[in-house]
Amino acid sequence: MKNLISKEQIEEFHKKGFINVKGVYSDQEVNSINKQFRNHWIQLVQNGEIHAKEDRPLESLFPRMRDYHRKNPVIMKHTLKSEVFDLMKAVIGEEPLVISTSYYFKSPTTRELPLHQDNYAFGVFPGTTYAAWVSLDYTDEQNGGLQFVRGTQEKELEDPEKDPTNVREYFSDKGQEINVPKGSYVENITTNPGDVVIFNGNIIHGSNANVTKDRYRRCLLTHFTGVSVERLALNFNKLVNREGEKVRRRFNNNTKIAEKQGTIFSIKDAGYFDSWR
Amino acid sequence: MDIGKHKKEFLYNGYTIIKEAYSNQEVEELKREYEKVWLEKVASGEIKQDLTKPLNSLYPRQRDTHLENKEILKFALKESVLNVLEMFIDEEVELISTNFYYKPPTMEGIPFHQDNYGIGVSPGTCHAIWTCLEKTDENNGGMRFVPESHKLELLTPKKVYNDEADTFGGYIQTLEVPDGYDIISVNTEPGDVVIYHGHAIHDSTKNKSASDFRNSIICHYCGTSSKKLTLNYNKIINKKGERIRKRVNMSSFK
Repeated sequence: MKNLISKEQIEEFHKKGFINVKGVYSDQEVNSINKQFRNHWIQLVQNGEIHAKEDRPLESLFPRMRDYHRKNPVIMKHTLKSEVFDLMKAVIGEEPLVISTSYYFKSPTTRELPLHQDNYAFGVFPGTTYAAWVSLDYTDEQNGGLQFVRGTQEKELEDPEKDPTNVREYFSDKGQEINVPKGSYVENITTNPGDVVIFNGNIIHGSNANVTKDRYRRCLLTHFTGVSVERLALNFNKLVNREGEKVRRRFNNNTKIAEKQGTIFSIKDAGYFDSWR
Repeated sequence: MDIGKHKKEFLYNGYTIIKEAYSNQEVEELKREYEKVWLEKVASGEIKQDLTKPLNSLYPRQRDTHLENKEILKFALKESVLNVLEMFIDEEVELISTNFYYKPPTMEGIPFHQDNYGIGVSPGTCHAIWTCLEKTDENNGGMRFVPESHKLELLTPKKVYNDEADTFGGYIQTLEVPDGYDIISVNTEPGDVVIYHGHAIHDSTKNKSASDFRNSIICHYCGTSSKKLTLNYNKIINKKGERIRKRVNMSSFK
């Protein structure tokens, strides 16, 4: 096996909470991933499931596409790339499991993703999530690149302190927004196609708005956790191991995001876990 | 390239294919330019989606974008390509119009027609240079020609589309291929061009591909000796890139 990540890089990951591992996917693999999602997109536009909304036509034409690894064997193959499992094993310290995947086109004009912590809603216990964010374009601050608040993975999950009675808003990206802690700062990163940015599920992070006229910021984001996970909320019964087999854990009815809700079902009412069909 | 052989073919059949007239880089840059045009027009609302034709309405033909875009103009005025047409017709040419087709999967083709019916170059006729930007054949919306039909006069169409009914802009008409003539499909690679006469009867097929677009661009030209046109008579571009004006041809439509 090729050593994709050095000891120093693993230490850097634990210190900062994120690391960019360069050149993990080849150009051919990057093109293949984009092509598969492009094909799904054409179908979704054709059958009317995706359509342009008047106020934000270009953003609405390119929504996030979630959990297509379960619908498309080629995407499953790219998600289960053994080098990525090896990388994740090296940073998690145990065999990883896939929780979910999200593909973003992030077309020009698409708004920012506010600063948040992934495990606030994922509810992985014990431990946290680990993201592998595959860069499928050149990304920077202009086209919606990632941003991190270094070192915040050491923190507990924050409370965004939003109004819990407005359920839809409460569970939205905006509802999960948290502020930059005093004395910390937001760091923008740049990536090339094929790079994999690995980050801890407790780190405060987000992404910029795409303010370019003509550059997408595509990525395939896979959320992992360690095999010793006992409970989680999202996809608790649809985890996937290295062999592509379905793995099941218990449902976590005690996620941070649901703490202020009267019932654990409000998270479902809010449509938070709805996948794009 | 044996230019004499191509000229003979052009004069005899009304069309000829020139391989690799544009480089792969030129092809990719042009497609990228039209992707930018698309993104900006969707973002600004200039391209509006019609939910009864969700995919096709998102990808309308882009007409005369060369008037606002230098890269596209440069493509349409490529000297070595225009020289071939000039050798065929023995005079210098001027650019009348450009049309770019995204041609998404499942989009219908364009019915048989003669270009000068609507473009109305007089005296003489228009000539077209169609550039292939994706590998094309009969299955993904490639072009078909009726050899020797350019020797016919402009025919009277069975049906004239109006602006409301015609997504291709109102100057396309539907012709029946006259008895005794063949229909030939042209298979092309990116960068190949088809040069054809304004009276040559041609159509394009439906894009039956499930997921591949079939981008192409067609540029129309007239000879410097032409006096009148119906289309873009006051927006002709000469080879120096200057805008010139001719007279309007009112008698083009029969």
